[in-house]
Amino acid sequence: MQVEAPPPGHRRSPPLHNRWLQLRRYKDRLATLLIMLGGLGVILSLLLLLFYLLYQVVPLLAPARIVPLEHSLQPPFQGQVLYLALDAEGQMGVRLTRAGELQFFHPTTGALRRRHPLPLPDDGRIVDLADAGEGLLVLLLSDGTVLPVQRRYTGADGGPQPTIHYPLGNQPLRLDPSGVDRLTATVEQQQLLLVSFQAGRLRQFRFDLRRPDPLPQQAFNLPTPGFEPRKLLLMPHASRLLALGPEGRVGVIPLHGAGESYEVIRASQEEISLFELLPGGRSLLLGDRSGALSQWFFTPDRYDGTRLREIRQYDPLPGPPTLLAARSEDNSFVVLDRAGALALYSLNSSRALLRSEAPGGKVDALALSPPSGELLLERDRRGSLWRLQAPHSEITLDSLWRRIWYEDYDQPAYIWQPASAGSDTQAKYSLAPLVFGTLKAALYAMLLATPLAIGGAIYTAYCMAPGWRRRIKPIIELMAAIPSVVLGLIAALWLAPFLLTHLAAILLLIVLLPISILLFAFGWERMPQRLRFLLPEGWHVIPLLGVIPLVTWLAFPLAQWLEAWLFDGQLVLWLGHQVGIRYELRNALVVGIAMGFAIIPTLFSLTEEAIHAVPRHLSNGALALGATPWQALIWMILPAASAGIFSALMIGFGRAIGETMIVLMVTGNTPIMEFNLFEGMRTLAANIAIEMPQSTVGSSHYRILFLTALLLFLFTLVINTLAELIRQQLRRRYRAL
Amino acid sequence: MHCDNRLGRWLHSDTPWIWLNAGAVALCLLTLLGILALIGSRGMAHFWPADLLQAQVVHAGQSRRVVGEIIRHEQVSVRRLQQAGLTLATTSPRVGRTLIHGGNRELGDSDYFWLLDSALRERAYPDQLAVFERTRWGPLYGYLRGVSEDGVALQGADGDQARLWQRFERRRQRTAALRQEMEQIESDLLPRLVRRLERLRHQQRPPRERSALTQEQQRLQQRLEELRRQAGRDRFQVELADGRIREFAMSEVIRAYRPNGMGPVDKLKHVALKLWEFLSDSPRAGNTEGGVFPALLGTVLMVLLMSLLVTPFGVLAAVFLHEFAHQGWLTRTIRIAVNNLAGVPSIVYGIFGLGFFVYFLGGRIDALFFPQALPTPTFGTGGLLWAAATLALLTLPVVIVATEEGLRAIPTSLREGALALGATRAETLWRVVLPMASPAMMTGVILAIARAAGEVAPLMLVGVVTQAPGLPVDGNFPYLHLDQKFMHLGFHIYDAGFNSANGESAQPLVYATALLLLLVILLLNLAAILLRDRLRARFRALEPEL
Repeated sequence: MQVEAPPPGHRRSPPLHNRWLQLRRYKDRLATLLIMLGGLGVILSLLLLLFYLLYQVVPLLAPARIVPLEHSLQPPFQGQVLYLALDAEGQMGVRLTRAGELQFFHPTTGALRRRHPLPLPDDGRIVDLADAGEGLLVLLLSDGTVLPVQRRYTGADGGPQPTIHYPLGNQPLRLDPSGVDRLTATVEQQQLLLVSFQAGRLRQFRFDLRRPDPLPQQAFNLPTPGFEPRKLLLMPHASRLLALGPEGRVGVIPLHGAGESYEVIRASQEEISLFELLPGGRSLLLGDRSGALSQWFFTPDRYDGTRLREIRQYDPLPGPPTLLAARSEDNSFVVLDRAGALALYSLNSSRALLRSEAPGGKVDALALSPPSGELLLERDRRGSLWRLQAPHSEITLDSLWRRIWYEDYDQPAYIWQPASAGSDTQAKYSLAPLVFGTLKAALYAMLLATPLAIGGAIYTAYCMAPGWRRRIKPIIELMAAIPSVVLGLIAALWLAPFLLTHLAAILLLIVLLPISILLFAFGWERMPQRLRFLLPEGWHVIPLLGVIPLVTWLAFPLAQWLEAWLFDGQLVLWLGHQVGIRYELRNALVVGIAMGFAIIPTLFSLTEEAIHAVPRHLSNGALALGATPWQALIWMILPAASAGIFSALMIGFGRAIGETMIVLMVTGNTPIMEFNLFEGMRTLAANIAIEMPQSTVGSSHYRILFLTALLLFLFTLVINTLAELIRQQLRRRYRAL
Repeated sequence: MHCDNRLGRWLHSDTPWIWLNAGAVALCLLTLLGILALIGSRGMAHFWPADLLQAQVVHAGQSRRVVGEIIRHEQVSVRRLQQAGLTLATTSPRVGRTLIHGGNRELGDSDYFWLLDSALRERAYPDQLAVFERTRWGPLYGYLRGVSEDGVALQGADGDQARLWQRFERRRQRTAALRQEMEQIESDLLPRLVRRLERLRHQQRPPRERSALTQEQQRLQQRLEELRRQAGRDRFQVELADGRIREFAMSEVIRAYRPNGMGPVDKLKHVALKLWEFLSDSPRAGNTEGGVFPALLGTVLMVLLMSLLVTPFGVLAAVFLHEFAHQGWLTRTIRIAVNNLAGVPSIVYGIFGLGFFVYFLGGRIDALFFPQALPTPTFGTGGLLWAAATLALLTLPVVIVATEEGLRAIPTSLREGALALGATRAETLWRVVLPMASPAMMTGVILAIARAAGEVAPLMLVGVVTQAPGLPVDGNFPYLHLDQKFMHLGFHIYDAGFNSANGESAQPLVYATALLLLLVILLLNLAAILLRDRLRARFRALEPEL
């Protein structure tokens, strides 16, 4: 050890020496600074892990907000509004007046782009309209005639340019000599389906939009409800017609399918003020005069038919709800009541995400641009523009853990089914099946690993000859070095098919092995002394290394015989046919075995250390007082080591929770909630590995995956920290002894 | 409870419990042995030239010849076969069946098939039965019946199998040389030219400079055409299992041998050859055949890069924690936290790596330095660097803990001695403490490497692919491509075992890859254990002096 020499060729004159000392001091300070900065930096970067996960998750829980963009659009609108919309990704406002003028305006400035008077007859007015979708409105005029109008946009440099199109000609159609009172319409596959009510009759018409022919392709009468409908709605695929009646009644009229009959449901005790279909057309939203709001859809009933039933009630509004605007992107919708109070809901959650008293009273019309989330309100001919900020509105802490009744499901369920591209089914994010799968896998693994590892550790620490202990311990710890992907490979390619054919033998072995070990031991103890002395104390493992393979070898023919005798030749088939237990090739048993062996080394090593660390004089004292070695172990050593063993179990459990590759390869990765030992599961960790590469950055799915990672992180961190604290406590206690 | 029989009394004594616990140890040991034996035997089976079976299969009164390699044999219950639609005339509950790899995948027969033992007659292992390993469609099994050149059969070797085989081998070697040249042009020379052209185009150089390169490109393409034509000259005829004689292109054959006629020495030679191919070659046929060199290189390179990243930072943090930080509750908490980070699931590090390194850091780097390539990401997608960084973070706790342990083992008196001699703190650290702690650091790094080499889950998110377009190291500037996606042994196992279309045929290679991965990791662990022992020995030697 030498200290840096002074510069050569110089005598150590005091100033030089001083400078040299100073240089060393500077170097010292610099090094200290570097190490401080570097060390702190590294530790902070590890903390970054936690903060980054939080940073990705927090937006998920951000409350919904409604931000004003423009309080009052200029100039004020003209004419009495009947219909308001935001088209072309929110770049174009559309307004239809009762007098029959279609106005196109810039939504942020309110500047009028184009006015288009519709060809109404003289002094005709629009009394009602039906939005058929695809920009097509069917207008009902005051003289009982009907006029379909379609707006389209062509992209140009100056923004979208609207064009007006009359698919059935610009002459209003007289569908019925007596004049139409109510109507509804929908466009499907280039066909316009129209249902009208007049003179106590319901009539259905079908027009082909490819041939602008004012005559319907089809027209026939429908069963008539016992009341005069106030509003009509068509379900998708023209399956059913819903009619709103007085006193909270809803009529359901099947359009095709002779078996189904017409029925009237008393949906509310009050008059219904809001009667609309949600995007996708599968759910009906009802609001009544008391302010109550509820979702309804058809579910199978007991008699092989379907029934309209109430699925959930939303938080009520202060007044009767009247206006609805919905986004299909995230299944959220906005409802306004008669007094202008606004509430934002997510389809699958009862709680309102946002409520606000809209200032200024009654709102006449409402439009929502789904892509941008911009909301246009009109009151007293003044438009105001707002932006809804609820990027992850379908996710609440509650919705991740609760049973949710989704559209097209018979009952509420826990479902994990992230949205896939190109599919119109809504994404279903319930963490329950994933957490269940994780715990199931970990539990079965622990079931296998705990007895083996703890038994092995007790023997190694307490009974085994010391020379052997030094050799056996690293060998079992070597198991930890086998990468999990290799264990997964063996489990999936070898163990799973093996179990399928030899399930009976393996189950038999679980019973047979302990019994045969005991029998062998009993026999051994009865052997003549000369033979028994060949095996020194603490060498029990050696003969067992022969006994276990022998028993295993014998178990297979025995199991075959048993299967032929009891289980019809094969246990797996018998389970399926006779007991009704499904057997999947990649199941929890295989995972349990594979992952069990992955955590045995950890569990074994920590338990062994805990037992070995118990001071020997404790057991010696017990032995001196006349206890047998086993009694000393059970009553002295294990209680003393119990905290350590417990911490080992926790750490092992933590490992099993986070294990990815084995689960990924060995389970079928289906997110189901079945406790069946012979079915698979999907765990949190495997789910991340499968879905993360496909998820869009910043989407709800992406953030939920981060949330699951955060859960894993916190769970293992808490478990490990607890285990570590317990161990430290224990160490302190032994030091006192 | 009173028990008067001997067994009952014995059951209430100590010994049964001790024996049961001994049984747990024995079972663990046997399982470990079993796993190693399984991987070892299945992995080595990939290299071993197994004997080829020829037999007559009798089915529904008709007999046909089958040829192939026996993969495995098992006993199945008759019921299961009956459920699958087989009619069996047997009274025993189980029958034996054999899985045979019949090869010749493109000729319509199923590649792998099960045959009942009772249907297999006249088993034989003829010496002349040959295996032709091909670039595609898997192996071909059959008898060599002739060699032809430009469609003209070569005469003079009829009936003399030895001469025919010699002739075949000579021509195969010739096409192999041609193929090697073709491969060099296709995978090395041409891509390099294309890349240079691309660069010139980016720099908007005059077309004159490019024309020379374009001419060179054309020349290479012509040469490739020429080579292809030459390689297509030779063909050979093989008699298949069913007696048909088919012609195959010599250029498709990688290796041909007759396993039944090989002596033990020949077989060992063959094993060596296959081993070399496995270690040095690229994968073929969708990762089900060939070698694993790119995966091996990817693994090693990624791990090296990771250790370059993790060592300085881990040591710095450990030195800070142990030598500089005030040893209060905060440091203790940090120490526990760091210790426990080692127990955080690796997939969590993976998702962090993807979000932070790839999308956040990578996105920034792309926007700053590679705007011309956008929207194609350069660093904004998984790659070697991000994989190494993610794993470095994952293994950081391991290195910190190990180094701190080493620092703790150094007696304080040594530090005090250095300080008393007038050394500054930095000098003490640099000249006394760190050298003495270096074996512990090495242990930490090697443990980190061993852990990193076996980790697959996080890599799946940050840059591992099944088929990398090129090696991360090559002869093109800047030689080491940190942004490139790479292959990895562990992922190779996962992918080839699970996602490949032809599961059964990928199995031997997967086991061989698993064996290789296991060997690499065991070696690294062994090194760590040896180093730890050396460290302890060193301190034992030091203690008496103090």
